[in-house]
Amino acid sequence: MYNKVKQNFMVMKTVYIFIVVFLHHFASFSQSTELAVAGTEKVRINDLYGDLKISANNSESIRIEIAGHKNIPESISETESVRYKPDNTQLGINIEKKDRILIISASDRQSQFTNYRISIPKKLMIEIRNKFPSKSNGISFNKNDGRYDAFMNNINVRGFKNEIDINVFASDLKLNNVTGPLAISAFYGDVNIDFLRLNQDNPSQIELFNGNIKVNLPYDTKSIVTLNSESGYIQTDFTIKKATVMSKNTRTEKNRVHGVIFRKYYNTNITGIINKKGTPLTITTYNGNIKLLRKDYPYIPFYIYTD
Amino acid sequence: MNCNDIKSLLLDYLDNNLDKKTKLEIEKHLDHCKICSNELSQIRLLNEKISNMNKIENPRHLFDTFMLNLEKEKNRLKKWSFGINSSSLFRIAASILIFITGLLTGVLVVTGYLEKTRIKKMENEISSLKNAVAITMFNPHSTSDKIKALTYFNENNKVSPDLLRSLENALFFDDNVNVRLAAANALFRYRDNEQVMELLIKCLSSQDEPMVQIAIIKFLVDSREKRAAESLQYLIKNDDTNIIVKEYADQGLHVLL
Repeated sequence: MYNKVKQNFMVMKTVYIFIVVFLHHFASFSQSTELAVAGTEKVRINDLYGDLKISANNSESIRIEIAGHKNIPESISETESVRYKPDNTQLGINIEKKDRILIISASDRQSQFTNYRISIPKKLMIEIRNKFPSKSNGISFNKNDGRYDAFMNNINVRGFKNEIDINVFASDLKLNNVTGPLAISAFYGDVNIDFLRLNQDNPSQIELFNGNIKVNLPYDTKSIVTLNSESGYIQTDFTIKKATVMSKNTRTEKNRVHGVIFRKYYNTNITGIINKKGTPLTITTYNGNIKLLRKDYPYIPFYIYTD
Repeated sequence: MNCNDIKSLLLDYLDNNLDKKTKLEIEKHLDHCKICSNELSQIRLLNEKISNMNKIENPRHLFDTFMLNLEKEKNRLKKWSFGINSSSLFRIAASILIFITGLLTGVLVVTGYLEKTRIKKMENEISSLKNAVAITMFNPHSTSDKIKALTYFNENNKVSPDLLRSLENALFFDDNVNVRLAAANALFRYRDNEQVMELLIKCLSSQDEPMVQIAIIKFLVDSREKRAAESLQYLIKNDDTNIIVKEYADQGLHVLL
């Protein structure tokens, strides 16, 4: 009897959680706007400090959904009204178009803890910028008066087949099913990139001050790679041909996992070719580790992968 | 000696071509071996029959025809040799062949060299063309196009005034931080160049992008560039410098001094 009641209670609890999650999902991103992008080459996103999910679509319009936005009082300081653009969307953001670039920026009425879901045509270039804290721009880590500030956020980008250019202060970056070319730099945060393929027209570069970088590339990607991690390690299961290792005293390790050889190089930088000569890919972290891993490798039973 | 040895010597025995010792041995063997004695008597019989056969004369016309053909062949060879014998002809032919081969090889080597020189010249032209195209044709909105232009500049690995000017412009004035970083990374390759080091030191005090500041500080400190100390002190004292950059500059200054 007790067990039956307990079982019913568990079922009801699960259903209740599902309903709450379901309602939350729809209610949370209730505010939205949609605009056409004819004649636009690039979308620039400035200073949106909440979690940012950017996905690719096949249409000719941009859809912006916002969650957790609360209009902050209009009495803002003079410096802030100069620093931020006016809210022309009633969503706490400013949207303007300048020279074939659509700019989505923080407004003077944007509140902290707002999360964004932005769907952008996949043919467009993307640029994401977050201001770095300094005295002149008034952004600091410790400010917590209801207005947005520079704090660690998550940025997810998915499905783009064009250039992605990111420069942020403190963000965890996740890029999935992208082709690049990429130009990424960040002060803090981890970077996780899953390439659909690597664009062979233009070079890609990823540079971090503090954080780990993990890059998954299709196993047959052609590239000249430069990997720098002078205070961490570089791990890869790619065979780096004609490799130039900066320090002769570099400690290296070689492990075999399920027949695949993984090499680890400590505190060094390596330049070399993976597969064949292709577009340059530069990955740098000043304080952190780098993982450059093969994906989609065809599985051959009982085959021992060697270099 | 066994029967086989004896049989192989029977013809010589009949012709009296053997030494005394072998002859005695054969005779001794023939005394008790009926097979070999029979063989000997058969050979004798055959010899007798051959010697008793009538002699057949060669037909005269066969000899005449042979001599006529021989004369014809001699005349034919004379016609082509121009008085030079065949071995001399062979030597001359071989000399001409060697001469032609040498000439051909020489021509191939020379044309190959010319081809290589031409390819090198074309490569240089393509490289400068690529630079020109990269600078003028890129999409001004594309970050990666600008970075690609800087990468092309870097391909030759030679510091030219044009290269320095372009990298300096990108590092100091480009409004895109990732392009500035790419320019800085391109300059880091020329560690031994005095002009490049001076440019980076100058840039440190005027640069306002924290990522670029950090990259240049790291490079100058790794290069043990003591002249950078003044710029580092300026960064540390400047109120507008990012707090993390200040800390990094302070650590770098301790290493240099």
